[in-house]
Amino acid sequence: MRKRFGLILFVAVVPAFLALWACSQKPIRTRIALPDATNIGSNKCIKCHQDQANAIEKTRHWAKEDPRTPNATNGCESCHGPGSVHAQNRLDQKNDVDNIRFGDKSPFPAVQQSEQCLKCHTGQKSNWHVTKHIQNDVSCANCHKIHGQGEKQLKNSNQLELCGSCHKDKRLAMEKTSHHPVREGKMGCTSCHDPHGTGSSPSIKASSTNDLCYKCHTEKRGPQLFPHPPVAEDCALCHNPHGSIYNKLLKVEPPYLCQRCHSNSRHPGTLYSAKDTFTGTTPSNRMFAGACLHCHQRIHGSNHPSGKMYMR
Amino acid sequence: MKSKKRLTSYGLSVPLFFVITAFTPLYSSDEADKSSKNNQVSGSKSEVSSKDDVKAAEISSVKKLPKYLEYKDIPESVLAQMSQIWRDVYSDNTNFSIFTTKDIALSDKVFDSKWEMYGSSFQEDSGSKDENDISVKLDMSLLEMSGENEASKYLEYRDVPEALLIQRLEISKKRNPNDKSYFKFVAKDATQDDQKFDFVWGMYGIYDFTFSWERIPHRFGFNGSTLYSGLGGNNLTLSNSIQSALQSSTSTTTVATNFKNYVNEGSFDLSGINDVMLLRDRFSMGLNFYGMEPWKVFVGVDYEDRSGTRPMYGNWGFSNSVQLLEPIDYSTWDFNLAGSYAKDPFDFSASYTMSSFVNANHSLTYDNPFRNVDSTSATAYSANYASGSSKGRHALDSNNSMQQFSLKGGYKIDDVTRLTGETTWSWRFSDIELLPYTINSAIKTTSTPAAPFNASDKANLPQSSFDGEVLTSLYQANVTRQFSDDLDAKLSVRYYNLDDKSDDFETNGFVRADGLWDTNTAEHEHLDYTKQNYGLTGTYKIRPINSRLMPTYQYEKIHRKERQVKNTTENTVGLGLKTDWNDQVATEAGYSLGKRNGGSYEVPTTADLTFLRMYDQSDRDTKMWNLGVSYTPLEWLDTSISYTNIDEDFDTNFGLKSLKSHEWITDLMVKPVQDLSVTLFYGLNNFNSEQQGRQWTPNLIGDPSVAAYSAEDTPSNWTVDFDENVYTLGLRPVWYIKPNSTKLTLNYLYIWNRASIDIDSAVGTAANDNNAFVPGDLGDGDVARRQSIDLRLDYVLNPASKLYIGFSHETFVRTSYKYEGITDVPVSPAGVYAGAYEMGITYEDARVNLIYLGYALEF
Repeated sequence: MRKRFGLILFVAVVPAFLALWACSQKPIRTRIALPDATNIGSNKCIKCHQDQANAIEKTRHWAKEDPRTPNATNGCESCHGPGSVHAQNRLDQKNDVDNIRFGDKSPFPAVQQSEQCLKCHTGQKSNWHVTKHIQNDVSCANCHKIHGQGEKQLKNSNQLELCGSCHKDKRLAMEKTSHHPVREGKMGCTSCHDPHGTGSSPSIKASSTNDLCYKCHTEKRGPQLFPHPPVAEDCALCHNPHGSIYNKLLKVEPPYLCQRCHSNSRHPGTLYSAKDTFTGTTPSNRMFAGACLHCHQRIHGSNHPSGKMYMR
Repeated sequence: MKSKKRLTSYGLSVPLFFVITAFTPLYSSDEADKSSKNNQVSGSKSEVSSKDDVKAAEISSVKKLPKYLEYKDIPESVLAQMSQIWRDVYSDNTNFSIFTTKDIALSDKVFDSKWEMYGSSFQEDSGSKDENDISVKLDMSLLEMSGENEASKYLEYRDVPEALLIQRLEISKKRNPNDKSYFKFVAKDATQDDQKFDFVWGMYGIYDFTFSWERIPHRFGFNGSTLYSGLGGNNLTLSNSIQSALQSSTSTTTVATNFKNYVNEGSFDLSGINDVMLLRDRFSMGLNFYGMEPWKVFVGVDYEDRSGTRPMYGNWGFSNSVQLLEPIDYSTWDFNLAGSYAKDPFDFSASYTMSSFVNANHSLTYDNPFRNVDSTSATAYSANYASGSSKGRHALDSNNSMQQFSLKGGYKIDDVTRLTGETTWSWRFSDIELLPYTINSAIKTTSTPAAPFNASDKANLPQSSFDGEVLTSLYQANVTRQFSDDLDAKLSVRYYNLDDKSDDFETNGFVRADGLWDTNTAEHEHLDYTKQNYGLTGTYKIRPINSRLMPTYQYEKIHRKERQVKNTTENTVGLGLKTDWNDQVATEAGYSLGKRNGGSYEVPTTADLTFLRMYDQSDRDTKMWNLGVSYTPLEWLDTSISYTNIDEDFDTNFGLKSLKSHEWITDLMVKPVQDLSVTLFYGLNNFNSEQQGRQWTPNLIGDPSVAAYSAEDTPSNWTVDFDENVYTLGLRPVWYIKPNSTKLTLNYLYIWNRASIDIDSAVGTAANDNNAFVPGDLGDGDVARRQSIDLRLDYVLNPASKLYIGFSHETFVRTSYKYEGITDVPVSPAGVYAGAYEMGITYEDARVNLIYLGYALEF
C-alpha cells in the first residue's frame, strides 16, 4: 500500500498540473521593457550612466569587434531594452513600467532578467529553466558582473567563495582534512556541477554520480570482473565528495564503514575497539591503518579470477 | 625533516621592500589626468558632444560621493574615475557570503578596479596602440619557509618551493576595433609541481582555439620505509635471506622478533620513501567555431598522464599483510565533438565523447616476507610462515574505454512554457587479459588441499580474457511553466538504466590469497539497475507577506538485479518558505519528509543473517528541516545564522541504523569605518551515526538462527555510536590604510574536528558469547586541528606596479586511532605478530611559516 501511495499521488499530481495549465491564462509579466519605447542609442544612455559605461568598456560585452556583443548591436538597449521612454522621464513607477535592470535589487524577477541574457547566451537555455537556482529567484546577475571584468565575468573568480556564499555547508566541508583540490584551485565547483543546470540532480555534469567520478578516476571505470555492488552503483555511498575528516573522503573509517553493510557471521560481525589499535592490548590488522583493506584492497572491484572477495 | 630552516631571509626581505618603495616613482597627477581622459567608453568618444560634456559628467559623479572628496590629494579627474568605480560597486549586488561578504567583495573590487584603472591608464600613456598592442602582467614573489613542511596534508595538492616564483604571467593582445583577432596566454605557478598554462587564440565572433596544460600533484606521505626493492615498478622484491629466515621461524613471536630485527638492521636502506605521490599532467586543446550562428561546433582533445605511486596492501591471509606501493602509470585520451543549434523556439545540441584509459601495469607482484618457498595447506590462509605462497600478485585496474552520445534539446512552447529533454547513451568497455588463479606454483592436483588442476597455469582458466561491457542510458524530460505572475512549476521525469552486457564468467573455485584452493564458486555479477525519478516542484509568491512558498514532491523507484532487495521506492515531500520581512530581515524555513520502502529481502547465501538488510536497500525514513535568518540592522552591520537538521532512520537489525546531522552556520560582517571591514564566520557541524552488529559463528555461539542464541539482547550484540564535531572559525579583516594605494589583509582560519566512538557491548562468558571482553571506547578517536594565518600588505607603487609582502603560517596536527603508535612491524604486548607490515605512511603534522615578498607589474 505504501508503495502504491507514491504512484497514486503522482498519478493525481500530473493531471492536476495539466488541469492547472489548461485553466491558467498567460501571465502578464509585472515588469517588462516599455512596450512603446524605441531605441535611442547608447550615447544618450552614457550621458547619465557614465559610470556604468566606463565599467563595461573593458569587458567582453563591449568588444565591438565581436558582432555578437551588445556594443556591436544595440548597445545598452540590447540588454536593458529600448530607452526612449526612460530618457524622456515618462516612467510609470505606479504600474512598474521601466527598463529592465539586473541584480539582487532589481525589481524584475530572476526569470525575466535571465531571459535577457539567454537571448545571446543560448547554450544555457535548455537547462537554466529547470535549475534550483531559478526556482530560488537566482538570476545570472547574482553570480556574473554584467559590467565587470574577470574570468567569465564572475563576481568572485574563486568559485569556492562565490558558490559558498549561498552553499555555506559545502564551503565549510571543503575545509575538512580530506578534500578534493578545490581549496588549492585545481578544481572548482564547476568541475562537477553546472550552475546553469543539467538533467541530473544536483546539477552534476554527468548522467549519474559514478559517471561523473569516472571522468577523473578513469581507472575505476571498469567494467570489472568482480564488481563491488554498491561501488558500481554510487560512489557517494562510501565517499563524501565535498570533504571529510577521515581519509580518502570516507564517511567513516573502516572497519566501521564496511560493517555498515557487512555485519554477517565471523570477522565481519566481530566487534573491534580500542584494544585492537596499534597501542591496544591485541592489535589487529582488521582495525588499525588500512583495516579491512589490508586484505580486501581491491575494494572498488577486482579483475583477478581469484578476486571474488576483492583480495587480488 | 630537511626543511627545518631558519627565516634567514627575513632580514633581507624587509629592507628590500623599503628600498624598492623608496626608489619607485609615485603616481603623478599628470599621469592621472591623462588616464582619466583616456578612460572613457571607446565608442562614445566621438559621439558625446564634447570633452567638456565628459568633464561635466565626471564632476557631477564626484559630487554625488562627498565621502570621496576627503581625498584632497587626488586630482579631480582621477577622483571622477574613482567615484564612478565606487558608484558602480555600490550599485552592484554581490551576495552576502560567509567568507567574502558583500563589503569585503566590494572593497576588493574597488581596490582591484583602481589597480586596473591605473594599469589601463599606463597602457595608454606608455605608447600608442599601434606600436604596442601587447599587454603583459607579471606577478612574481620570493618566498622563504621554515618549519615542518614535509607533510602530506600541507603539500597534498600543491607545491611550495623556496625560490623566485612566477605566480602569474599574462600576455594578451589589447583590443583593437580594427582587428578581430585576439590571444591570451596565462601561466600560473610556472616551474612548480602545480603549474598551469592556458592559451587562447581566436577571432571575435568566429572561433577560438584553446590549449592548456596543468600539473596536479597528489602527495600521500613522506618518510615511509620498507624492505622492498623495485618501488614504482610492478615487481616488488625482498632479499631471499629475509624470506628464508622468517620461513624458518618457530612461532608467531619469533616471526615478529626476526622481522623487527630486519627492519631495525642497518644493512637495509630504510632512509625513507619520500614523496609517495602521483602527478597528473593534463593537456587539453579545443576548437570552438561559432561563426555560423545559430550553429556552434566544438572539437576537443584531452590527454592526461598520471605517474607515481600510491600506498596499497598485499596479503596472504588473515595474519600477514604488507603495505606496498602501487605503481601508477596511467594515460587517458578523451576526444570530444559537439554541435548545437539555438534559435527560438528551439535549441538543440548533440555531443559525442570517446575516452580511452590505458594502465601500463596490469599486475603487481610482491614477495612474501614470511616464505621463500611456495606451499599450500588447509591453514595457509591463517598462518603466516607455516605455509602459503612465496609471492602475491594483484590484478591492477584494467584498460578500458568509454563512448558516449548525447542529445539535448529545448522547445519554447509559449512565452511562459518550456519543454526540455535529454537522452544520453554511454558504453563502457574493458578487455581484461586474465591472470592465472594464483602465482603459487604449489597449488595443484597433488597438493593438500588439492586443486582440480595446476592453479598457477593460466590454461586452466575457463577463459583467458574477460570482455566487460556496460551500457547506460538516460532519458529525461522537464516541463516548466509560469502559470501566473505568482505561480510557476516544474514537472520532471527521468529514467536511468545500467545494463551490464559483459561476458559471463564462472568458476568452480578460486585461490584464496594465493594460499589455498577454495571450492566456493565465483561468478561475474551483472549488476543491472534502473532508476526512475518523477518530480513536481513549484514556487508560489505570497505577495502580501513578500514570501515565496516552494512545495516539492519527488518519487524514486530503483530496480536492482542481483542485489538482495529488487525494488525500492521512495516518496519525498517538502515545503520551503522564504520571506523578506523588510530591508533588514529575511528568513527561510524548510521541511521535507521522505519514506523509502524496500521489498522482500532475498538472502544470497546461508552464511548471511536472514534478517540482515543493507542500509542502502532498507526501508528508510528521512526528515530534514532548516531555518535561516539574515539581519542587516545597519548599513555597516550584516549578519546571518542558519540551522539544518537531517535525520535518517534505517529499518535494519544489523549494520547502519541511523544518521543524524546538525549544522549551525553564522557569519557577521562589520564595517566600523569606511576603510576597514571585518568578516567573521563560525560553523559547527555535528554528525551522529549508530550502527549495530553481532559477533557470531554459524551454528555456534551467538548464531541468531539457533534458538538459544537468537535473542537480540544476547551479549554478542554490539553497538557503535559515532559522534563527530567539526568547528570552523574564520576571520578576515581588510583595512585600506591609504585607499588609493595601500591595503592590509588578514585571513585567519581555524578548523578543529573531533570524532568520538562509543562502543557498547555486554560482556558474556565463553558459554554464551564470543565477546568476552570489555570494549574500549575511542573517546578521541580522530582529532585534527588546522590553523592558517595569512597577513598581507599590498602597496601600489605606480600605475604599472605594486608591491606586496606577507607572512603566512599553517599548522596541521592530527591524532587518529587508525595510526596512533604506528609501527612497521606491529606486535601485541606479548610479542605476537599482529598481521600487518606497514611502511609507516600516514599523515604527518605540519607547522610551516612563510614570508614572501612579491612584485606585480603591468605594461
